[in-house]
Amino acid sequence: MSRLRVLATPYWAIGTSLAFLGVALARVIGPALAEDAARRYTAAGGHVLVGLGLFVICLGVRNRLRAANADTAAEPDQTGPQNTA
Amino acid sequence: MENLDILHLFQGVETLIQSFSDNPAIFFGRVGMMVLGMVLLYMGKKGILEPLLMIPMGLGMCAVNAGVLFLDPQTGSAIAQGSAPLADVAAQGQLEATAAAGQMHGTLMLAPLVEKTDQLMYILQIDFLQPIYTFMFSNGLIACFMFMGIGVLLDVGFVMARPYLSMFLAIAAEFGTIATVPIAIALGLTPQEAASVAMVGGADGPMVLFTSLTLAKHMFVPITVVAYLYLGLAYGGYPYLIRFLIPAKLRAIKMPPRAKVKVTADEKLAFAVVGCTVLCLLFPSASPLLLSLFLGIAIREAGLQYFINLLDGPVLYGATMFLGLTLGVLCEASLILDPKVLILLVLGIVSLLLSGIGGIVGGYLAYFFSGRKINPTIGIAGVSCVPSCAKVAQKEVTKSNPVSIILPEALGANVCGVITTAILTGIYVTIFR
Repeated sequence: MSRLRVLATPYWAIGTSLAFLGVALARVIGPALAEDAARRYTAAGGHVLVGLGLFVICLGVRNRLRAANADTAAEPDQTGPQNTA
Repeated sequence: MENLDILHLFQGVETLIQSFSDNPAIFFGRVGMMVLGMVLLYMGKKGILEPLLMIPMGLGMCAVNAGVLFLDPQTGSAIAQGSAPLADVAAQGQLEATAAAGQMHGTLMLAPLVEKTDQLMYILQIDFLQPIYTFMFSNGLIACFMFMGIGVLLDVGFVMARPYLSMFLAIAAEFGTIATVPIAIALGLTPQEAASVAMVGGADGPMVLFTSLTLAKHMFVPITVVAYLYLGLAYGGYPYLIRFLIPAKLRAIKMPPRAKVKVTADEKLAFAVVGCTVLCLLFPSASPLLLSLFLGIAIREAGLQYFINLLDGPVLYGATMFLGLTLGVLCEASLILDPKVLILLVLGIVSLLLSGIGGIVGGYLAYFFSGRKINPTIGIAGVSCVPSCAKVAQKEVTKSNPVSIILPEALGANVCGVITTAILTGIYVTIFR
């Protein structure tokens, strides 16, 4: 289970929630609206929100990679030439 | 013996001569298609066009236009009565009479216009490629097989590690797919036909196949043939576009150092699950394609080696070969000689060209916004022909600077291009259906 800890970040939770909220707007709430313009805008907003949700997930992964790389860079290089003098 | 017509022994030649007197357009169409088939095959062999597709397609085009014969009365009648009736009642009557007299021209390969069940069952036992066409082609299964294979080859980690760059380039490279729709409508196509031909700009064969089958079934043969022809051309033509629009100095730019830590398989798998579920909820019409793509990705990330071997070998290459062969066989002169084909040829190249230009403009914007660090050549990889466009970009960069590696970033844009094209397919199918 420890490998899955990388998924337990706010980015994954917020991104997934945003994406499903977008689906709800586009496919459930939007079609139920009476006014045509409102229906179109809600559906369009839903599509954008889905894209945004997936983007937030990717952003979380990118930030994790950056942090992990910063840690790696901060560690002393074990593979370089050793001072044997 | 004195009544023996020697030409009747060689019906391919006899039907050709007869079509010259009956309908010269068909005669020239058949000869032209045979020559074109040979040219495609030659260009495939030379590597100018994609050989995996062009060799079976070219040979299929030669064979179907050469192998026209007089169908026996039963087969001819099955085709004449099983297809949608002609608008002109007299013409339909004449067609059925010709078929009953055993004088109808046709082949023993494929009868794509037959729709009625009884006649279709009969044709399935006669034409050798009809089972492939009926059970794999017309329901989009072959496109789904190709997407499963492509999914296994895709690494979504490239997108997840560089989301801004990948998504921006992928959206920029959809310029042709979006801009061609109003142009096509202005040229007299219906919105459904316009959307189908505009998808050529996505440079994603299965998507074009799926969109045209869903939106413009009557035009799917010429649209798909044009699409695959141009996808082959993209491989040979995009390098010239890159050299024309990006100076060698910029093509030689080295990318900034990359992260050492990689995206984990769990993250990629979770992304595939969320992405597939959300996109299928949003675009149920495109869910077969989306499922196929994400299934391939999930299988890769789950490490199911037996499935990976199955999908990236027999399924992907088997589907590619039969797709090429079926497309070639569909290029029979009488089927493809439609006045709209010329418009499709123009629109297809416009769409692909605009997408390429859009991608490169996106690459230039990324170059400027990154403080001149990002190589603008990766923009072309936003066009989602996986992995050809990424390979083309890397090849052109290597020619200018052998130590510059842009492939990881290019593949990120390329993979994101596939997802963007799938989303655009869903939007078009939802809006225009």
